[in-house]
Amino acid sequence: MVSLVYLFNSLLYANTIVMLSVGLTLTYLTTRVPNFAHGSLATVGAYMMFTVAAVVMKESLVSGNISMPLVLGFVLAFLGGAFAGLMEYLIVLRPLKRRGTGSLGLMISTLGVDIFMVGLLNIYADILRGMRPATGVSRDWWLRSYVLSKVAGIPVGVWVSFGVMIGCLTLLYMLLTRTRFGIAMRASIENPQLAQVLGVNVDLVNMASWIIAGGLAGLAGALMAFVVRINPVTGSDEVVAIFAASIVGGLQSLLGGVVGGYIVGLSSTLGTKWLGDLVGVDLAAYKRAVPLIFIIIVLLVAPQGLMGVDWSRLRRRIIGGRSVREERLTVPHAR
Amino acid sequence: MGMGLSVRNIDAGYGKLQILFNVSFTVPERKITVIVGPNGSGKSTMLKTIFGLTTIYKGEILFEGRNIAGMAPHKIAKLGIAYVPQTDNVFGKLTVRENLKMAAYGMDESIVADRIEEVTSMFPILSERMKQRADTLSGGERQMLAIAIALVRRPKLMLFDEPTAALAPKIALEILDAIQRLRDEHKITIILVEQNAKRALEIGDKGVLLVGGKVAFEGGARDLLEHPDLARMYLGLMAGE
Repeated sequence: MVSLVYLFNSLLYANTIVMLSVGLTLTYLTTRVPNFAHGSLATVGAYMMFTVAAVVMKESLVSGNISMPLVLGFVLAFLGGAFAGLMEYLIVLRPLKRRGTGSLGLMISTLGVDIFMVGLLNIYADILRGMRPATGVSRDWWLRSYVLSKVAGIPVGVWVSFGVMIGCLTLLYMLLTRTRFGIAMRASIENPQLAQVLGVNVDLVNMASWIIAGGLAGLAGALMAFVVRINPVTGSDEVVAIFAASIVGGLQSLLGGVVGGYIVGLSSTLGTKWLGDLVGVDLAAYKRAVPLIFIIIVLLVAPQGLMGVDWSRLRRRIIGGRSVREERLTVPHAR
Repeated sequence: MGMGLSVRNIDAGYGKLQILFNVSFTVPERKITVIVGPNGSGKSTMLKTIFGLTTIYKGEILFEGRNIAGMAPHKIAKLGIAYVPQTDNVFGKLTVRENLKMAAYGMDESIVADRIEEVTSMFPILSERMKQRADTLSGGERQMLAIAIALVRRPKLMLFDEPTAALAPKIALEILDAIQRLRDEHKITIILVEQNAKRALEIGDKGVLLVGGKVAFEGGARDLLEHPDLARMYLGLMAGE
């Protein structure tokens, strides 16, 4: 039986993957670049949080476990991630795109950005360690005390992570459906040329998408510090899981990112734990393989992802009846 | 020349692929100028070039005395020029209302509702479809929405790229009729690219014939329609037909 602690940790982890996957999908939709540096944007967020801890809090970072003013940390995590994302677009991707670099070239360039960012984060982690008088060897920190203290039987970290995740996704949904800029964003995603023709500055839309995706990643990185010790490569290591989540969701809709995030996030933690209990503890070592298995299955069975599957047609195949999509194709348009 | 448009010595294309060679012609205001020519002669490229969607190597495009060659499309849109592309000219995943709101992007919120009302009164069928996604519309309705989208900003100049392609003949005539009304009732200057040269030149005032990316004829629409050689050679029409 999976313990409650493990369940909470899995939920925390899945929430971060959801936020990361939504951001990855967003930049993919606007800029058509699969961003391999997306995980490192999360690490930037986590280190912004530690910066608050190092500068504001008097306690040393030796133990690795820190507690700190969360709200300030989250604000900085969002800003840090957003800034890093915007810079990635402005300094690397936009100039390359304007020179006509193809999607393969752009994709490789994001790998370069990731290596660069991991390097910078390593330097920054050293600086941060040096800022505390009694420094230990560790440069990995986390916010475990928030998981140990509970409110209503549920760890504070779980409350916070659901709050941040639901809040962000609600705001994003409102932005995309209720505001003119959001409608312009959706329009630019569907047909950038037509959006431009109608007076939308598509470049501005692209920049906004990188700010939003980077900010969400920064927050996700800060949340991740509740469950794992964050070091400069933590985010980079999660890239496979983030891509798996987005691919399971189909890379075409943000909702797909949410669904894929939970499927991949929960199954790679809860799934391996449960199987491990059945088969043997050694299985836990294969946790990292789970996202890869998802990528393989989805690409083989439903290359458009879960959101691309005509579910009602599948239902009809199994139990009969006609699918909504087919109805739409066969009903003649009333004129 | 007033509100007309004047294309001067334009060389343009896509990246390194040049399509237009030293193209010059003028577009008189409040008239319909029809650009005709065989397939691949650069008609659509000419419209895209006016709207800043191609690479311009040389030349000027003067609109209201101002050179717009090389300007970003979203800025050109705000000068009062509207472009109705041949395909993908509505946002299929957005509702009809969202499409129209999109067309009013950046406009004062207080007048948006009035403008949407104004354009839907021209195409009443659209007001019945406001909450539908645009990809559920029929071909003719979709084309009407595309024109309505372009009209929201009350443009002074409209560029149409084969608006009747792939439409049933009866609906094609409705669309061309609507374009004539834009000239006569709304006083809009129009550039029309058409595959069906005869039908277009009949409603047009001026004709420009593009062949191989160069201007082969510029003059009255009727003169081109009745030209003894050109009409037969390039437009598949018998002279005086």
